[in-house]
Amino acid sequence: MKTPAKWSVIALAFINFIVQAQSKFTPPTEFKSGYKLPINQLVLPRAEWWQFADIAALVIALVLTGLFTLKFRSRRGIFFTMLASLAYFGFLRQGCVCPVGSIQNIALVVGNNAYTLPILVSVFFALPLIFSLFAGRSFCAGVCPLGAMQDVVLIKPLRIPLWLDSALNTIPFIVLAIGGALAFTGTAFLICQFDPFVGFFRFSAPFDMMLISGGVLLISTVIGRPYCRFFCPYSALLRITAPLSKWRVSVTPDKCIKCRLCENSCPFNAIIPPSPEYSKSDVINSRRRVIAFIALLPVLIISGIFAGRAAGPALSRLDVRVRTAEMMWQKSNGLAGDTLETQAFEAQSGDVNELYKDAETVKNKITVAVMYACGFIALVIGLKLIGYNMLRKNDSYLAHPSDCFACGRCYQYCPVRGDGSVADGHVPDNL
Amino acid sequence: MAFLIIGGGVGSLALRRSTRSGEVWQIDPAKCTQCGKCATSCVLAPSAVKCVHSFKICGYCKLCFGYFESESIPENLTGTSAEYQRCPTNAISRRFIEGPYYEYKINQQKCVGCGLCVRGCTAYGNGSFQLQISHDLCKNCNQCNIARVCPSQAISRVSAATPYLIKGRQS
Repeated sequence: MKTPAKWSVIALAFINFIVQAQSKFTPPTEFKSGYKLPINQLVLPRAEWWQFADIAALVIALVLTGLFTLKFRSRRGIFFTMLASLAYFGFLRQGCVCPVGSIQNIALVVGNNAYTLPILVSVFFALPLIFSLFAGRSFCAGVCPLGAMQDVVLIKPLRIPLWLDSALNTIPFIVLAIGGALAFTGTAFLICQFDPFVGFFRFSAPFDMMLISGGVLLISTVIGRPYCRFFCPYSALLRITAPLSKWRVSVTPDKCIKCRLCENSCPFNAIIPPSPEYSKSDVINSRRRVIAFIALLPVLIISGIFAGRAAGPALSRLDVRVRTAEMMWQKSNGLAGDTLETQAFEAQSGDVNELYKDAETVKNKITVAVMYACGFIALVIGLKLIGYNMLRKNDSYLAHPSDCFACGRCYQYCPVRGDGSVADGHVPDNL
Repeated sequence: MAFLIIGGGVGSLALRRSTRSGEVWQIDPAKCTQCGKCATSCVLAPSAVKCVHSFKICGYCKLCFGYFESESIPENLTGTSAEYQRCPTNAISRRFIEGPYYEYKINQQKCVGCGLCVRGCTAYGNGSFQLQISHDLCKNCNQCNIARVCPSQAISRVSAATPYLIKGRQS
């Protein structure tokens, strides 16, 4: 990335951007000694064609992973595609822009008329989602550098109890809703602030980012992909689209013989065992609970919206406009002293009443956005409760339609061959 | 179905307001108040923010308020008045041209983007020093970490076609 930028070192000719008319000291227009004004060598950002290289790399990685998961059923192939993606998107391109963060750019372009969206960002947002309608979450398995980081350090996966997994599983939807709402209002890019590995990709980061990186990496050694499963907002989107996928990962290439060999092979709790026999009372109880939760759903959503209304003003304090207005108000009422923000505001000699009015508008916009977000979160929780209480019926081991990352680990555990015969003395190799 | 409608709606809106050229972060020198956060908040160390000298509006002063030779000032003194605004890394070099005129050049390798020289020059001189994000260093984070904490909201996304906002004319 650095070299092409350096090639494009040119002396930039600039239009009169800001003419500082109050020049206090004026040198002669022409020096007697023949001295000429030097030209600043400013370096241009990376060339535009790099965008197409990024898009090409994304498409190639997606297609390769899709082929390895669905056609060749090769964990090794997926693994090396993942390493290549980690090298390119992670260490070479240094993590920006990624589909996870692009959610916020999309929200910002919807919420802010002044913002224009670079094509690269919209492609990065849309392509993995569109791809997931055909080949499931191959983006997670072989392309995402954040996922790859966690995947390579997973040494000894511990199983998380299903109820806890299912509960933590809602966090991505919360991050998606709140992060989206705050980007929509132009307040903050919260998702980027909690990017777990960008510091590693750049070998440089502020202390708090490094702390998050180290923590996530450490947890990743014993819990499979904790960021992907319990935080990543893009995974929330993929979990909605992946079940609609045309082709799906299947643990076995032919017919499941229920040998249970694959049962513990998934470090992400994404293999569904065959359902047990249900007694009559089980069915009745389940139906009763499902009906109760459906009835409860509107109540949940309304209380979610009210919670959003209560949380809105507090969250609006993340916005620099609201914060500055608050500091100015406190200062003018003698409650607090000067801050950098008030000094900057006064240096720019803005109108305080204008600031207060702007801040009020922003605050209201944030509150409304957070209300929608919390309503959405309540809806997700409600639907999860309903889903949790429904009885599932499947007679073989299945890859979870939305939780499966398509990493291909389980493939090697299945002794069934493509032609339906069963291998003898089957030993899975660990990768 | 609902998914398609939402997807289509957002998609068409995004397409209507999209640009082929990318975007980069840049500092608006008219808004910058030289608070010093550029030096400390960048994801890079040292920061991708560097001082750029606009020769066109420089006064070529003999006594430069952005410069001051470091030896003349006691090390342990800090403050906001003129005599303390001098480069902590000796990144500015000065060369005699003629008469009372001196040329000032910034060594980008040494500059840490603290903005002390910018503050001195803006307050007492022509304001020819200014802070700019250097695009050979900037990683172009999706959210600039400095923009997040900038008290004067001076950092914003600009089109990659006009990546620098330089005071005065540079030709």
